[in-house]
Formats: sequence, C-alpha cells, structure tokens
Amino acid sequence: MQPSNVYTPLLAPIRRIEHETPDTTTYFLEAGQIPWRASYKPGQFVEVSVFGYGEAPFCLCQSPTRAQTIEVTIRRTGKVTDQLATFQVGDVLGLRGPFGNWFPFDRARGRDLVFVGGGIGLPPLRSFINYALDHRSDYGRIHVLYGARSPSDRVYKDELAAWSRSDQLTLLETVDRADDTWKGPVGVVTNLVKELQLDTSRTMAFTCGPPIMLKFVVAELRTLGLADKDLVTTLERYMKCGIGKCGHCCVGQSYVCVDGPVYSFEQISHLPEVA
Amino acid sequence: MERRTLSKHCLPAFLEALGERRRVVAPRRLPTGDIVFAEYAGGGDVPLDYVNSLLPPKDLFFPRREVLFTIEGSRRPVLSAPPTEKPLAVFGIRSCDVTGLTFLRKFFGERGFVDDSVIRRIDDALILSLACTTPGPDCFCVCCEGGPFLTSGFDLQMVDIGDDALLVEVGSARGQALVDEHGALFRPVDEALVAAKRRAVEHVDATFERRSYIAAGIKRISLGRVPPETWERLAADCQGCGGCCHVCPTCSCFTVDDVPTGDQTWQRERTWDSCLYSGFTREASGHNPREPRAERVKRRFFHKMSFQYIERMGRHGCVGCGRCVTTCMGCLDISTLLERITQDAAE
Repeated sequence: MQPSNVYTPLLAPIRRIEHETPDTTTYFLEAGQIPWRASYKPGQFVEVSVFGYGEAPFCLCQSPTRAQTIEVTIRRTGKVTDQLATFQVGDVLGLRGPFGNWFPFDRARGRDLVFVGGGIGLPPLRSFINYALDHRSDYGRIHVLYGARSPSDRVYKDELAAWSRSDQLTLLETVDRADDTWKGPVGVVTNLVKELQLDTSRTMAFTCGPPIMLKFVVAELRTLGLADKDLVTTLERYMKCGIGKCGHCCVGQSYVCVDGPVYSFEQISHLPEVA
Repeated sequence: MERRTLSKHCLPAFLEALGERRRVVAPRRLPTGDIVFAEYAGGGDVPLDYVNSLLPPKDLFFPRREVLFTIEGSRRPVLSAPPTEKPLAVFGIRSCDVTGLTFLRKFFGERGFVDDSVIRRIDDALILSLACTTPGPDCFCVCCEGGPFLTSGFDLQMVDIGDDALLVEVGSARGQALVDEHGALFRPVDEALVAAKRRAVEHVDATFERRSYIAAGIKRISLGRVPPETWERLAADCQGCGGCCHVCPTCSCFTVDDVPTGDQTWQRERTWDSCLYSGFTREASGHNPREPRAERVKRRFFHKMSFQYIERMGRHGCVGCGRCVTTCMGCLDISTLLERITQDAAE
C-alpha cells in the first residue's frame, strides 16, 4: 500500500545535472507529478530524500515563474549529499514541500532591490532575483552583488554572464582569491556594498551567505542607512520534518521551517543564537 | 456529567470485551514492583493501587521508534506504508498523563500541519483514565493543572474509592456509547460513591503538596528573568543524558533516519530525540548554533515555560507527573530547577 502520511515524499526523477563548482551541483527534477511546481513562492524550501540515506532541506533556487523543472543547488557536505553526488540522470529523489515562508515580494513592490550573496548563498536569492526579473515593472532598480572564494567557486556561471550583459539589473562580483582567468575585483563582498549608490529610503536588501559575511554586510548596509525591517536574510538550521514538529530548528519561539526561513533583521537581531 | 458504577471484578470482563475491536493496554506490575503499560492479556487482576507508571503511556501514541514507510531500492525506490494498527483502548492512564496527551494532540495537529499517525492514534483511542487519590512523593500535578482529577480529555474517568466498586465518569459521547453498550457491567451510579469522591477531592486538596516555587519559577522563566549566570550554574549539573525528555509526557522532539533492513531495503524511522543532546542542532557543515550546555538547558525550559509557548499551546509544558524528578541525576528536573531559580532570585 502507498504510504500517505505527511512524511511521505513525492517521487521526482532527475532530468538534468549541472556541475556548478567542484563541490556544488544543480539537480533539475521532473516536475510533472509535483502539484505545487508553479505555485510555490520564492524563498521556500523542500525536503529532498536520497532514499536509504536520508532527507535534508534545500532551498528552491529557481523562480516559480520558470519552474519547468524543480531546481535544487546542493553542496556536498555530509552523508545525504555525498550519496547524492553518485546519482545520475534518471535516478529518483523524494520531495516534500514546499515549506516555510517566502521573500516579501509584495512588500518589496515598487522598491529598489539589493541582493548580496556569498558562495552557496546565491541559490536562495536567485529564486527572488528571477521572480523580480519576470515581474520587472513591479520593482525599481535591481542590484546583485556576489562574492565567491575563487572564480571556480562561482555558481550559475552562465546565468551570471547573462546578468552581466543585461540592462535589467546590475551585477557586481568579487572573489576572495583570483586566478589567471579573473578580471574582476578581488576582496570581500562588503567592498561591493560600499560602491553602491542607494536611495536607502526606497531600498530593500536581501542577503544570504556565511555568518561572518552576513555580519559585515549587514553592518555596512545599516551604515548606509537601511532599516532592519528592510534587511532580509534566510536562516539555515538542522531540521528533520519541515512542518514544525521535530523541534530541531527552533530559534527562540520561532520554528525556522514554518516561521522562516526568511526573516528581517528586525525580527531576529535580538536573538543570541543569530547575532 | 453522567456517572456509573463498575464493580472491580467486572473490570477484566470489560477490558476483554474491548479487545474484540481494539488493542487493549492496561497497567501491569513488573516483578520489580514497577508499573508499565502493556497489552492486556486477559484474565488476571488489573493493578489499581499504583502511584503512576514508570513511563508515561506517550509511547503508545508517539512511539519511541516508528516506521514512517519502507523503502525498496535507493535509485528507483518503491515506498510502502507500514501495516495499519488496531485502535487503542488504554485503561489506567493517570490524570497528569491524560493532560500530557491532550497537549501532544494539540501540538501534533497545530499550525496547519497534521502529523497523521500520532493524531490518528490519539483520536481513535479510548482513554479510560484513573484519577488519583493518593499523591506520590514526586507528584506536583496540583501546581500544574495536571490533575489529580480531570474534567476533560478522557472518555471514561474511573475513581477508585469504593471497596469493591469504581466510580465511572463519562467524558465524551464515545464514553457514553461505551457504558450504554456494556450496560450489564456498568450499573447505575451509587450515590455513596459520588459522596466519597467529593470527600476524596477535599482530601486530595489537603494532602497534595503545594509548591509555591513552581508558579513563581515558571513566571520567572516565562518572562525571561533568569540571568545567564544562573543558567550557567544550573547547566553545570546537567549530564546531557536526555532522560528528562524521554520520561516527559509532553516532550515531542524527534529525529528521522533511513535504517537498513536488508540488501537495498530500508525503513524510514522516527525516533525520540532530546534538545539536551549536543548534536541536536549540529548542522552537516559541523556548525552548531546551540553548542554550549547552558544554552541547551535554557532552551529546554524556555520551550516548556516561556509565555510565547504558553500562548501558543494554551498552557505551559509541565503536567507535574514528577518523573523527571525521579530520573534526573543532576537536580535539574522541573520541580528542583524551579525551586533553585526561585531561591536564586530571593538571594
């Protein structure tokens, strides 16, 4: 008998695999049987099953406006993702979701958008970046700032190239360590924030990356005059269920899987585990 | 409230009759003297003279190990549901544990996400509770609105106050149907028993110990008035064993793993977890946002007692069963911790 409880994933074959960096891969999953394939919101996440090895949460990294497939960008980090790295096109993954809240795309309407991503922090932002590009007239100027450890650690290289040529947004990039191929700036992404000419009264910023990057980026954006309610990030926590039951992801009274993962700094800056 | 009388010698016949359609679970006394909940085998005596079971019957509804589904093949998986379970009839649950079960029912069904298997087990179960007339040394339900008598949450509440008879109080339509169906066993209520219960309530009121620091301590935690140094000092006594969570009628944290059962077969299992384990929040990268022990201990009591959770759940997360008092080797059970916090504040 088919299991039918809230923990049963839908089955989704891998249709395409794109190697982004030496340790990071994007999986394009067959969406035909996924009822929510076009109705999820940018910023939400899914629980991905590698059957026999476990389940882990990953952001939906593509805008629902472009979801011919379900896209997840995953870095090899542990048991589940190590096994996933051996999977090929045609192999089947499990999906539960979509879970969590989403980027405040309604509240951001009419505002200038600044996205600041570090390393593997770009994928969650990308769901909203492409959503905003597909609703271009709803938003003001769009800036995307991206920092990676090295040129080979950049994800979505083709898309970054397309964004750099586009007149719909401005893309600024930097790397911590350059190589012979790199012609751009070298240094932390905070340096790029300093270059921005922002009308802070009409700007909202969305940032995702390692904690140390967040700390400096947020400090810089505050210096420029952005209010905490207009500074938005996504939290990541160990989690099992995705539906507010297993207890692992609690921060204060907030369940990151249900109340998050998207928070403004107004909501979280007082939390000791975040600051 | 509808009332009936049930002769104690009719209890086995009643439980056996329930067994036709249900998995009947009742208290059983181990050779050690401890009481556990076990499948009722029929025939024998059912103990009624116990303070409480060693462990709460939570395990029957939210099993410490539960198969969510089975998996055949990793890359081309076929998933199968675990076998369907017979609905439960649980006799002898003490009032505090029924209160805990009501708490779990709310938690596992709230916020738009229904945890099917737990909710189904609770909703389908007959709850035949046994009210308390004699407190145990670690009991403090009277300080936590956890007992010793219930007004809701049960189908039938039994009170052992007669020499030979139990007073039976009906708490639901299902309970009413039950006493009607088994009319030959459930006699009209004996008014002497009703009077005896009234006296028992008064007696209990006089004998169950009131611990003023329970409410005072909860208030301090709830309002975030416990200083970090106090948490540090208290947490030094925590062994991180998770025992308090595992014996608690309201603790609900769990983890999920794929466990191999053969060549290319697994079952996805849910098992109890504890927020006091250092690995509870450790991420795949190794980063752990709640590594320090004091933070973990604080987290447990914040979850149990903070006003945010009280607001969400309609009550705090302690029913006063006292099992953590028996279990904790570090004097960090709820009662002692609240006492220490209150003393600390007074100094």
